[in-house]
Amino acid sequence: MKKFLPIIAAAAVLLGFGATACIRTQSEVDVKPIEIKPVHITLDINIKIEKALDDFFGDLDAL
Amino acid sequence: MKKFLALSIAAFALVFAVPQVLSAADDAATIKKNMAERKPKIETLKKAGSIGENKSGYLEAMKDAKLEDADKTLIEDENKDRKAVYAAIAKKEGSTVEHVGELRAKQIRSKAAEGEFIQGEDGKWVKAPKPAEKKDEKKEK
Repeated sequence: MKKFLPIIAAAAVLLGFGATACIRTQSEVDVKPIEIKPVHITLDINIKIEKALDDFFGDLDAL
Repeated sequence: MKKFLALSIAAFALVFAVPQVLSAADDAATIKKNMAERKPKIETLKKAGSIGENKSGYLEAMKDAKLEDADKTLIEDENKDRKAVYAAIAKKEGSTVEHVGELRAKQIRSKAAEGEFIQGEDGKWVKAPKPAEKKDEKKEK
């Protein structure tokens, strides 16, 4: 039995390597690009336009 | 020779570039001044129901309105100046003259005096309600 111990140990090590070789892990990380939706851009532009209109016509409207 | 070239370029810039920068500011000030001068007459025409504010941000004569030639010229001049202002803002903000005009029309509708003709976004002409009613409409919406 003792004679076979090294062989058994070697076999166990080989089996372990084999098992890890078979076990494959794969991970994927999805990196989505940042999206600025068109609605937000439109709202920002409208706010700027309204401010520009207020800056010009504000005095006139107050007359 | 190099000095002469540098001086020539500087002189060219002074003669042609500076007046263009100044004229833009002068134009805006002139337009504003002209609009202020026209305003009393425009208000009179609005109260009389002869003209209204359309949904594009311009003055428009009402159907069956009898306008004098001077009034027609006044409306044309006012609309021309408004268009120039809208164009300047549109260029600055990367929009269109039409869109700027529509946003201005929305502002005008919110400030319209009671009884003045205003054109809604749906194209229908209505008389501006009392300011209190406008607030109620906003709440309902």
